[in-house]
Amino acid sequence: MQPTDNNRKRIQQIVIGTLVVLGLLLLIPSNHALAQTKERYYSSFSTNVQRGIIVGVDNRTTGPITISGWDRDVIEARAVSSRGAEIVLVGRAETSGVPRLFLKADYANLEQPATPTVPVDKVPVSDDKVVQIRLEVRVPRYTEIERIEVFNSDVQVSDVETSIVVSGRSSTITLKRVGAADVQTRDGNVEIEGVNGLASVVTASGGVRVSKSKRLVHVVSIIGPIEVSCSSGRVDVSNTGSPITLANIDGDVDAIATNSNVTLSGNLREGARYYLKSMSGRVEMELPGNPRGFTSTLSSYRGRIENDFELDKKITKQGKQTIVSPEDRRVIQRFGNGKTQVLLDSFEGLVRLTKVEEASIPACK
Amino acid sequence: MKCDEFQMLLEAEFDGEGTSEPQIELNRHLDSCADCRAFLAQLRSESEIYSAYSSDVNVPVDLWTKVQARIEAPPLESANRGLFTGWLSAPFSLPRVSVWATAVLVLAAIGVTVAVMKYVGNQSAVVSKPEQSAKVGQLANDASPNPNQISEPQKKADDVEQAPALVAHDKTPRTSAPRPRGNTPDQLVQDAEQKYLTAIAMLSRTAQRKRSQLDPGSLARLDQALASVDRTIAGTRKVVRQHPDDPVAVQYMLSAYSRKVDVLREMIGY
Repeated sequence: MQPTDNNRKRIQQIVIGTLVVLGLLLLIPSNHALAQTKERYYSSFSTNVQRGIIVGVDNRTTGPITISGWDRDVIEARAVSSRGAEIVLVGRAETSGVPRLFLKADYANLEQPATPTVPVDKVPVSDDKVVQIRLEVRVPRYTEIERIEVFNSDVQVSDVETSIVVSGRSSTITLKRVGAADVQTRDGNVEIEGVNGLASVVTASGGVRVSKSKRLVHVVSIIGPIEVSCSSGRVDVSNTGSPITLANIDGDVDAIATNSNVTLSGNLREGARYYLKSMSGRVEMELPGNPRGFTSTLSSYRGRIENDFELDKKITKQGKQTIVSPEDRRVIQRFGNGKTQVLLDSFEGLVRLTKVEEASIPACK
Repeated sequence: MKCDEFQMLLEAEFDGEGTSEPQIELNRHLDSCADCRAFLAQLRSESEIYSAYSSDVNVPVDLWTKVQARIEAPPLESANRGLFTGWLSAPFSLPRVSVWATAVLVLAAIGVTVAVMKYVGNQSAVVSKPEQSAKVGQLANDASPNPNQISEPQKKADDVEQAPALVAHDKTPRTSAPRPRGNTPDQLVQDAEQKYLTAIAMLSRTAQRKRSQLDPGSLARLDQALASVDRTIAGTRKVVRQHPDDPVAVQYMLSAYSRKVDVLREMIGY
């Protein structure tokens, strides 16, 4: 076959493809026109919904977004600012039988009090600052929330049974009693409390605080301090330049820092594995005076090792066994049944296993 | 003083661990031992390489000015992103074309396609002539140099240009909230990398001395492990250079360095 024929055949395929795409273009807008609406509500919006609905939220301004779950099959949204009531922009759609609702805070047209829902072209300013709108949304607890993407808007979500995914830059993200949490920020702080499923946070320099988590806690940070407390699941955290502080962790722990300190306090769960490591920072574990039993490996290549539980390095007794490496850079000890594994390691920082009073460890309420 | 002892003291001195040995004693040994002088030169050379490590990227003088300008730029919140985002934005932003307009579009598409077909047909006829085909090929080759043949200075210039480009992509307004520390994440990561490299250099020297005590099988396995870790370091480092603010990329890279430290520590028995 000649090269010219090949080209012609290819062109024919392109023509057919073009016609198909154009045909779809003709059909899609009319379908969506039927399935979608968008309306502007002054001050607030309310609608009855059923299980299976998916809700998206946004804010025209950098004002906060608050979502809270309740026991009613109703979604309510309210937009307010320092000027008073603002607009809730509502979009509705249905894809593959799944109803979707989109809520966005927008400015009311206060220059035309009779028709405040008419869009404004000019952004309102107060005291030389752009007016910020607060969007408050109440949803049934079962509501699925679309990934929330913000730049500077603070986001707070509470009492929702589903997974919450938030991506923010400088936003402060607060998630309480949600199904699962997946948060990314650049320098915004993150607070997660009482999450039932996975709690995952990735941030460059925001501070992270996770408490009362029931499953895996996964946090990666470069410069933001990390605090995890009262967690009953596994904790897997890493930081480059800010401290990692852990308290009362019941699951396995992997806490790794480079330039910063790692501290864990609280009771140990029998059979769990606690691995704390830092390149140049201090690694410290504070335990109540009478732990059930653990095997600890304390190592520091260039730093000091301090151990309140250390009784005798060379003598092996029943229930207590200590093996010391020739240079004292690695100390392995066993207490009681030795079932819990404790590994504390720093390349050039202090490694310390400290005995503290039970009362000095903050309790989980 | 034996050379082994002297070299250990020298390493300790370089690693900042200090030594109780009188300096005069060390100098005397150095004067009389050519091997140790060579060893000292090697240590100095390594030290220079590692200390120069973090300055392998030239930051343009006006970089901070550009960053500052970005920070002070007015906010670009969702107002500039259209009315809707996410799943609803796509359908809302689709053109709402009437039946007649679509028909016109279809006809226009057919017209354009026919014109393209004619043009391609003519081109095919021209290309099918062997002499001209060869000339076209030659011209094409002359016009597009092999990317692998970019000169070294050009490559370096391209690398340097990447720094402001990464900043330029970030059009996000930043709040005035201070960072937890004075250092930027990028600087911190470079510091961390530097620390790992120093540790690796220190451990490598000790490991070098221990090599003779290992059996060939263990040695081969360790070398294999180190080579594998080095590959991971190289790969992850490349990603971090492209995305210096990506915490996950940074984590992977620092984990790879940490792994190398661990392997070397295992090798020397600590």
